[in-house]
Amino acid sequence: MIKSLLLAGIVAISVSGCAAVNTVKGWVPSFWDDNQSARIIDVRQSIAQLDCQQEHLLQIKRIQDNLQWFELYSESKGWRQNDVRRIVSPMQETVADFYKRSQSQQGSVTYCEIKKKILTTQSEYAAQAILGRF
Amino acid sequence: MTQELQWLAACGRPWAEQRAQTALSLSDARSRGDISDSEYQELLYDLVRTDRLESEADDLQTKTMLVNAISVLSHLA
Repeated sequence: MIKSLLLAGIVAISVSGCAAVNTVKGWVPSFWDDNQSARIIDVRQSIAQLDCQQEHLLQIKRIQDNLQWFELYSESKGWRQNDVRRIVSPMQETVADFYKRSQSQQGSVTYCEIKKKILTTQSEYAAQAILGRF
Repeated sequence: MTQELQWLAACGRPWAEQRAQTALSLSDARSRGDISDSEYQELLYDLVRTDRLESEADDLQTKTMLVNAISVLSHLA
């Protein structure tokens, strides 16, 4: 039964060509990965340890480095990781703005605290999805 | 706009309430002068980014559930 379904799938893809392959690629989720799971917790920890009373720049750099490691590792692993890359991308943008601002002039404590709250929410969602994979 | 946000902050839908409360607290912080205009703009963008992230995360969780269900079914067959 399963063999027949697989055969039917392969025939359908062969007939409809590359467009179908790309559609199927979009349906296939990435699977559990020890390194990604550990790194997304490193991201959460670096956000949890962010102290808005101290200098922001070096602390944000640590979050950014963890996210960059995650991105480069996932990119190197191949197309099936595109779903987790899409999850992490908005967080990279949030951190990039924070880093850019801290480079020129440190933002206010209230700005940092709200930013930390937003990043905490984002990293919770991301970790839940990444660690919840099959 | 503030009235709409206040209504959303108590509309009974947790996801909308949370976002509206955050937007209201941003607006308050700007009014008090605790954050600058550019910080306010950036933080509003971050709220939109959070929505994008949540949507992608939901998508992955749904696909994972589907794969899990298919795997269980294939073991039963």
